[in-house]
Amino acid sequence: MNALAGFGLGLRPVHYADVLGASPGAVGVDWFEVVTENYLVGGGRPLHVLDRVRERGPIAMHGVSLSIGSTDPLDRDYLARVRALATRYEPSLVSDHLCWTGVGGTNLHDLLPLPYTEEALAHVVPRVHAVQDALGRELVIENVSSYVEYADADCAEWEFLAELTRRTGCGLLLDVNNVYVGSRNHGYDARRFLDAIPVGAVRQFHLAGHEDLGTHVIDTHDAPVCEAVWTLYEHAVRRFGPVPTLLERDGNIPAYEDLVRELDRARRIAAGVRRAAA
Amino acid sequence: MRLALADLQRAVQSHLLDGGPLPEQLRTAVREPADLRWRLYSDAYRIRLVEGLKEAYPAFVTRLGDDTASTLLLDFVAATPSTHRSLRDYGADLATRLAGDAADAPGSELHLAAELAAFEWALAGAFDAADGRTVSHEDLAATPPEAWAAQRFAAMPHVRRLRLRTNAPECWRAAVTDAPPPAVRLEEMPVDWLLWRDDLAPRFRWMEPDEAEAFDACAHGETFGALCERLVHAFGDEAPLRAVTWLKAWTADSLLVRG
Repeated sequence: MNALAGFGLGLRPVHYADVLGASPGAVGVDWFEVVTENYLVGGGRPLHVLDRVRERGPIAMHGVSLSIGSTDPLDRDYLARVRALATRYEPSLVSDHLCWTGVGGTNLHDLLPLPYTEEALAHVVPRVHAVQDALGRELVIENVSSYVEYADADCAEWEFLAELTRRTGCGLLLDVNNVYVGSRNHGYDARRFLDAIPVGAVRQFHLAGHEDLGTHVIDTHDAPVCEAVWTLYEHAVRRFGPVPTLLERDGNIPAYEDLVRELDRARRIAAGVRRAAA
Repeated sequence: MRLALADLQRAVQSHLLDGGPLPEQLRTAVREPADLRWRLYSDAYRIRLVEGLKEAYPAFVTRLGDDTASTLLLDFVAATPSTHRSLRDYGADLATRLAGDAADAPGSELHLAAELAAFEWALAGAFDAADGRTVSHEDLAATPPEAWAAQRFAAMPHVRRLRLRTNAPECWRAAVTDAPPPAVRLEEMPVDWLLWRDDLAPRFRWMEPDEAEAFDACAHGETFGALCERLVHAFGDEAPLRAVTWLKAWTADSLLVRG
C-alpha cells in the first residue's frame, strides 16, 4: 500500500483515455480517487482501467453508499464487496460520508445529514467500529454538504465529527467546499468549523465547485473551485499541514489538462503556506 | 417532542419519496422556509435517478427523445425506489415495466422502447460482468474422443440471451451511430439474440432457433452427448457435426467455460 501524499483528481470515465494514454510521469497528478461503487462490478472495462491506473500509482477509494448513519442494519454484503475491492487494489485510504442514504432497504442515492445529537452519535460510533472491523482497516469519514438542519441538535457538526473521531479512531476527510457550503446555508463561521477539527485526524482534503443561488449554495461539483473556498483551503493547510488534497468534478467536466491546472493552484497554495512557515 | 432517529429517518424518506408531511423537527433552515430546502433533496433524488437511467439507456433516450424518455423514466422512478448500493444497478426492471404497458400494442414505439431497454441492459451487463477462463480451441482439441460425450460447459458470466419481437438491435445501432432511426418492425417470430463481451467491447448477434436451443442447453450444463441427441430430430446423422461446428464458433467467441 502506497502512502497518499500530494495532489489527486477524482477519476472519471471521460478522462480514462487521458490517464491511460499519458506516460506515468506525465499524468500530472500524484494519485487518483475512485468512487468505490463504480468498481463493485464483476470485471470488464471498469476493472481493466482500474488495474492500469493502480499500476501507475496510489489510489483512494471513496464510497457513497455506506450509509453509516442509517438506522438500517449495516449491509454486510456491501462491506464484503468493498473489502474485496480494497484487497485487490490496496488503496491508500477508504472513505465514505457522515450521512445516511435511506432506510427500510431503500437507497435514496443522496448524502442526507444526520441530526447532531447524542443519540445519533451513540448510533454511529459502534457502526464505525463495526465497519473498521469488517474492512480490516481505518475508515475515513467525510463531512457532507447540507441544506437543512434539524431542530434540537445537541452539538454543532464540527463537534460531532471531532467526537466521532475521538471515540472511534476513524480518520476524517475534510471537504473544504462542503464546509463552505454549510457555512452559507446554515450561517456558521467556516473557520470555526475547521479550527474545531483535531489536527491529527485529518487524512485528506476535498476541493470542489458549487452553485451559488444567493439564498443558498448547492454542492454541484460542476464548476471550478471558487475564491472563497481557495481562501478557506489556505486556512486549512495552515492548520492541518500538508494533507493529501483532491479536486472533484462531476458535472460540466472540462478537459483533463484544465483540471490538472486547477489542481496546480492547490499545489501553489500549499507550497506558499509551507514557505511562509519555514 | 424529539423523534427517535429511526422515526426521523422514516419521516424524511417518506417526505422525499411521497411528499409525506414534514415533522416539526425537520422544519428548520436559516434564511428561507425549510420546505424549500427539503425540496432540494426531493428534486435531487428524482434528477439523480433519472440521470442515472439516462446513462444506462442512452439509445432509449435518443430514440424516444429527451422529453418522452424523461416522462417514462420519471414514472419508473416514482414507482420503483432504489434498493441498490450502486446507481449502476438501478433500472433493471425498466424493460419489464414498459413491456407490461405495451402488452396491448405490439409493434408500437412503446413496445420498441421496452425491447431497446432490455437490449441496453443486457449490453451493460455484458460490459462489466465477471471475467472467467474461457474454453479454447486447444482445450477442445485436447479432449480425448472417449471423453466428449460427458463434456459439460457453461456460459461465461458476461453472456446474455434475449428473445425480441422488434428490430430493437437495429434501432439501437442507429441511435448510437446517429443514423436515421429505422421504423419499428415487428418480426413474424421472436428472434433469439446472443450478447457477450469480447476484449472489453460488447458484441451481439442473432441466432437461428436451432442454434439458440442448442446454446441454451449447452450453457445450462447439458452434456455434449445429450446435446447431440437433442439435435438428431433436426439434423439426423449430421447432429454431432452440427454440434461441433457450433461449439467451435461459441469457443471462438469466448462464450463458454468448463461446466
